[in-house]
Amino acid sequence: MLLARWGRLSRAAALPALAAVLLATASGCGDDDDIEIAAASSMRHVLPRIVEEFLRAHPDLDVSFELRFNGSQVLATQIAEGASADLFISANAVQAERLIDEGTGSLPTVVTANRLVLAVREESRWYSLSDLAEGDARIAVGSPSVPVGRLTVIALSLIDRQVARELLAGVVTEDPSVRVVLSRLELDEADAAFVYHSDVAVTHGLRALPLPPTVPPNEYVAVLIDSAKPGTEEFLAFLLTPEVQDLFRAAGFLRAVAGVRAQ
Amino acid sequence: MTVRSTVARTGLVAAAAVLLLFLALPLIGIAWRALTDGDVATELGSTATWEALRLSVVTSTLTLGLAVLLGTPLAYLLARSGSPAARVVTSLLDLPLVLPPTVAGIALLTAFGRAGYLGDALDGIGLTVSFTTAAVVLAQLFVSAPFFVRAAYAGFASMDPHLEGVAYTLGLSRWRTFRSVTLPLVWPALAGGAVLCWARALGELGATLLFAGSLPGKTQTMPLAILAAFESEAGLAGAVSLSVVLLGFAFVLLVALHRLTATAGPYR
Repeated sequence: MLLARWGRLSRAAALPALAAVLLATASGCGDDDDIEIAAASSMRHVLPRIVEEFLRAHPDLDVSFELRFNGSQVLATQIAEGASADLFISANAVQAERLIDEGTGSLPTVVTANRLVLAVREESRWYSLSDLAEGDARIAVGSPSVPVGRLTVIALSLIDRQVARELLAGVVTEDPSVRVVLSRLELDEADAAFVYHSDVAVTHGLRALPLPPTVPPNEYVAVLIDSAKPGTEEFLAFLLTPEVQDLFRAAGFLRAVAGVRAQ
Repeated sequence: MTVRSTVARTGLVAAAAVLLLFLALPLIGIAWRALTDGDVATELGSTATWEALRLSVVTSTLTLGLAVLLGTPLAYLLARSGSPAARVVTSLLDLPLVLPPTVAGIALLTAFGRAGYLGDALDGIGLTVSFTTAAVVLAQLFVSAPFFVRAAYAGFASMDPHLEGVAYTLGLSRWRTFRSVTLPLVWPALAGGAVLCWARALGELGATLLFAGSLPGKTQTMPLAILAAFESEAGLAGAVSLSVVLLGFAFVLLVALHRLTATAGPYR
């Protein structure tokens, strides 16, 4: 009987299986000479394409890249605590400026920006903010302590007060990152979520309800880490070229408006 | 003492010290960081902290109650059953521990969420689980109950079942046998498992975030409040301050629990 063999079988297979798993995970770590870019999670889809373009445009440069994605706060903390990185692209300007204040990096550059939208599922019956307000919809927002949540607070202050009140009453969660907010829609646990336009652009089956144009965009700030390897500065400059800005736009971001920030 | 036993003893102490230091140093680090960088006093004075702490205590205690109430029979039956099916179930019991907590949260949603395969049935009887305080308890139960069941199972399995047989032949009822023979013998295992289970529930983050969301006063437990603080402008300083509050609180409770189960247990 199959079941009766389970015990003996699993014991015999346990050691080789364990060894195989450990061996498989031990290999495949990065190269020390790679230019390491720590970037906000929302860059996950567009940044690899930009790196590809950069390598194509600079065949003379003998460089390779290692990309690391995470929440801007997590990355900023890691870098401040000594994790190696050459370029930090933050979705949170405050985090970027803090690193510069601490003397870890310089040359803060706005490389792109993102617009806040209210996303719903494509097949849903919601077509406007008041639809959602009247329909007892479950709304997911970011925590007011993160940029997407802060922008949501601003956006709600700029729309009709009654609608805003009813939307707020439907808030079921204040999530710690925009990725988690977005997952509420992907898992169909919420009816609407305040996320970035670029999130809707890369997620299948979502539709964006527009918010007032007076809601400010969220800027992405790149910081050159002091010990940056050769080639990093060229890459930072490359981010502002028209072709990269077109890539950003195609991925749902906005063109950078400000360029280099005053320190 | 012979030279050999001295060497053996030194090795023993050295090994123990290495692990003890490894476990202690990060805790010392975070406490030090909170005292120098953070502001524990402010966090202790904020109602938001107490709200999160209260929610954590209530939910983790409910979780422990459910785990003990439902887990003890399960562990007992598994340990006493010689069937191959019981052995399969026992080895599968650890699976929730292997799942990354975030995945555990998604798994809970696929079953009990609004779009989960039981979602419509639950909706039919007017139950929405996700984003409620009940969801916090369920998320904690999913990841922490195996700790209790595993420990209780080890207790029941290591006990000589013939002792129960002797009690029966002496005319004791099943319940009386369990109470006066079985329970005293497995008590340390149950108590140890309960502490593990409660501690894991108190620290639960990923599954809770996905399954229950993070709303202050309703579903935002201490670990979620720490995460929110970490992502905020207060950043690391705020997060470590809150962490030290949670650690201090857990320390007091753990010491109390250990004393309670070691000395004031019903069978010592």
